[in-house]
Amino acid sequence: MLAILKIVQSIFKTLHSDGTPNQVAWGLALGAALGLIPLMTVQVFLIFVALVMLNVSFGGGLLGWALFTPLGFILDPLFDAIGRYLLITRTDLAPLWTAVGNQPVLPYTQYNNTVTLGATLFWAVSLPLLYAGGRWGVAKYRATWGPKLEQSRLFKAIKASSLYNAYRWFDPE
Amino acid sequence: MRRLIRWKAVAALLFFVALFALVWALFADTFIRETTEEVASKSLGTEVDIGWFHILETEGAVELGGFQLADPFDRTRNLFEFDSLRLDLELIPLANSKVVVERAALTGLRFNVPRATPAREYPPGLSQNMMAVVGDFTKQFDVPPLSLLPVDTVQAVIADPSQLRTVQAANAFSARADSGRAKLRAGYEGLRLQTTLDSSKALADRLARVNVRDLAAARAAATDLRRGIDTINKAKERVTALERSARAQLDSLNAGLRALEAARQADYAFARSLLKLPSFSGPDLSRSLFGAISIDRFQQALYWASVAREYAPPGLMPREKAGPERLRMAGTTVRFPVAEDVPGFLVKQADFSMSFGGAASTSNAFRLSAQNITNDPTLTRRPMTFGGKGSVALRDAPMQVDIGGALDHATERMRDSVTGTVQGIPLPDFRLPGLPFSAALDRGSVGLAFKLDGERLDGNWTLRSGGVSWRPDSSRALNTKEQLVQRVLAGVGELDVQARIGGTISAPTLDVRSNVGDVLAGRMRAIVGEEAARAEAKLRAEVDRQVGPRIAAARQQVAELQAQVDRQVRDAQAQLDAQKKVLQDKLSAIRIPGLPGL
Repeated sequence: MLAILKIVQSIFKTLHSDGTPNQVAWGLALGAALGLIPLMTVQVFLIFVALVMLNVSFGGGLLGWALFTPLGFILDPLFDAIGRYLLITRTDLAPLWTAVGNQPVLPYTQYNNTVTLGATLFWAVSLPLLYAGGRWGVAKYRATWGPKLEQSRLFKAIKASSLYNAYRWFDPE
Repeated sequence: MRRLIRWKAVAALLFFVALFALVWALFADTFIRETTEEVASKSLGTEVDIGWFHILETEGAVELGGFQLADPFDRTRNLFEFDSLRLDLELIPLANSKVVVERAALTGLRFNVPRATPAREYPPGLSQNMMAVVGDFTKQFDVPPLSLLPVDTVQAVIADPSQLRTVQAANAFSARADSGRAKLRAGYEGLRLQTTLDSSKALADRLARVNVRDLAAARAAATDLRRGIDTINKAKERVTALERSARAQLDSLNAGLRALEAARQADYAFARSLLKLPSFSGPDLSRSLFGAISIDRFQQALYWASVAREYAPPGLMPREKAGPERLRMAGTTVRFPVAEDVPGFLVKQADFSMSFGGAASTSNAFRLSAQNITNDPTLTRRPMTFGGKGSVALRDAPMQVDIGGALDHATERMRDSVTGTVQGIPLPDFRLPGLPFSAALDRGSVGLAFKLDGERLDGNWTLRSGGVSWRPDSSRALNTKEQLVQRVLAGVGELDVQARIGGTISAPTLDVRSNVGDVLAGRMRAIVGEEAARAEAKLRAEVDRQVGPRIAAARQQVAELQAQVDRQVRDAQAQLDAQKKVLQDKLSAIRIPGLPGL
C-alpha cells in the first residue's frame, strides 16, 4: 500500500511540476522498456540503472512502467511473432545470432528468446515515438487538465503526505 | 545547466544493489535448487529431488546434495541417489552463459534405493513422448505367460463357432455349390434337348408315309433325314460341352472340399492355441518365464539412450526449445551452436572416488570417471564416455562393480553403448510369471551390454546365482501339473538366465535362454503331455462337432451334383443316340432307283 501511494504521489508530482516535459518523456520512454521487456534480462537491468542514474524523471519512468506492463502482456503474441521471424524464419540471420551468442554477457539478454527479442526490438523501434508522444502528452496535460486536478482534494491529500520526500532523491535537477 | 548524471541517486542505486545481494544471499540457493528440480524432472520424465544446493561464489563452485533420481519405470524406487556433489566451474565461459565443469567430486552414491514416498508423475511432455516410444518398443514383444491351469474348458474355447475357418469356408462353399447347380440346370435347359428329339420324331413319322418309289420324294426324304441326323449330332456336341463344363465345376468343388479339410486342420491349431498349452521348447519356456524381466532391463537402457539422444543431438543446426516459464508468454528459445566454440554445457573430466552405499557402506574402493559429457557433442568431436570399476561393500559383503559406456553423437549416426557387470550382488526374490512359485536367490551376478547403433539394437542381459530355492507363493492347493513343476524346480539349485536382444527399434528380436527353461522343457511333456493330449482330443471332437455336419453337407452337395451331371448327360446322350439310330435306319431304308442304297 505504501509503495503504491508513493508511486501515485510521484506520478502526480511528475505530471504537475517536476522536470521538464523532455525529462518526463525520457523517463516515460525508459519506463516503458521495464513494462514491455520480460524482467529477468540484462537489458532491463541496464535500463533501470539508466532510469535511476540519468537526469530524467523517475516518476515518469514509474508511470511508463505502470502503463506498459499490461500492454506487454497483451502484445506478447506480437513480440513472439517478431522474434520467431528473426530467429527462426530468417535463416540468413543465423550467423548474426551465433556471433551475438558468443560474446560475453550478451547471452544474458535472452536475445535468443522469441518474446524477449521481439519485445526489445519493439521498444527500441518505438523509442522515438514514445519520447515524442510523452513530451506532447505532458505538455498538453499541464496546459489543460493539470490546473483543474490540482484543485481537487485527492491531489492535495497526496501532496501533503510526508512519504513524498523519499522521491526527492530522484527528482530531475 | 542541467547535468546528465544524477549523482545523488548513486546512493539509491547502491541500496538497490545491496538489496539484490541480500535477496541473492538469502534465496538464490533455494530458487536455483527448486528451478533445477523442476526443469530436470520435466526433462527426464521422472522426479528429481535435490536436498540442498549452495553456490560458492568465492570458489567458483557449486555444491549440492541429498540428490534423488526416481526410476521412471518404478515410482517407488530411486534409480540412484547421492549424498553430495561438488562441481568446480570455469568462470570465463559463465560470461557466455555456458557451464564448463573443471572438476567434480561425488560421495555417497547408492543405486536402486526404495523411496520413502512414491515419485510424482509428470504431465505429457518430451520425456513422456520418449516413454511412449519405449512403450511402443516393448509392446512389440509377444511374451505369453506360462500357464498350467486345467485345460478342460473346451466349450469356452470355442464359444463362437463363427470364428472357425471351416465354418466360414463351408458357408462360402454351400453358396458356390448352389450356384453350380443352378448353372448346370440353366445349361441343361439351354440344350433344348426335348425340342430336338420332338422334331426328330416328327421327321421320322412324316417320312414313314413317303413313297420311296417316287424319286423326288425319296431324294427330299434323304436330305431331311441327313439334316435331322446333323441336328442330333450338334445336340450331342452341346451335351458333351455341358458335361465338360460340369466336370470342371465338380473338380473345383472337390478342391473346395479339400480346402475345407485343410481349414479343419487350421481350426484344430487355432483351438489349441486358445487352450494356451505350454510349449515344450526350452527357449519358449525361458521367454515365458524371464522375457518380461529381460525386456524391462533393455527398455530402461533404451529409454536413457533416447534421453541422451534428445538432449545431446549431433550437428550444429539451431535448436529450438520452449522458453523459460514466467508470468509473461514463454516463447521459444533458440540455441545457435558455433563450430569452433565451447559447448553450452561441458564436463571435461570428472573423477569420482565414492562411497558406494553412503554411510552404511564400508571398505569402498570404487572410482568412476566421465569424459566430455556435453549437450553439443559435435563441438567436442569426441564420444562422451564414462566408466567405473572397483570393489564396494554393501551389507558386509563385497561386490565387484565394473561399468562403462560411450555415447558417440559426433556424427549424424549416433552410437550408444553401455556395459556393466556386478558380481556378488544381493538379488531380490522374484515370482515366476504364470506359475505360483517364487524364487529366493543367493547373491549372484548381473550383467548388461547394450548397444544402439543408429536404429540397430544389440544387447545381452545375464543373471546368475549359485543358489536358488523355490517356494509356492500361493495358499491354494497346487494342481497336479503344478506339483510336478514343483518337483522339477526342487532339482534346480542355481539360476542362469541369458537374454539377447537384436533387430531394430521398430522390429526388435528377443531370445531368452535359461537353465530353468531347459529343465522344465525336458519334463514338460511328462507334466502336461497326458492332459494336453486329452484336451486336444476333446478339442478336435468339439471342432468336428461344429464343422463336421457342414463338411458332410458340402460333400453331399457335391455328390448330388455329380450324380445329377452323370444322370442328365447319360440320359441325354442315350435319347439322342436312340433317335439318331432311328433316323439312320430310315435313311438306310431309302432306295433311289438307279442308285445303291443310301
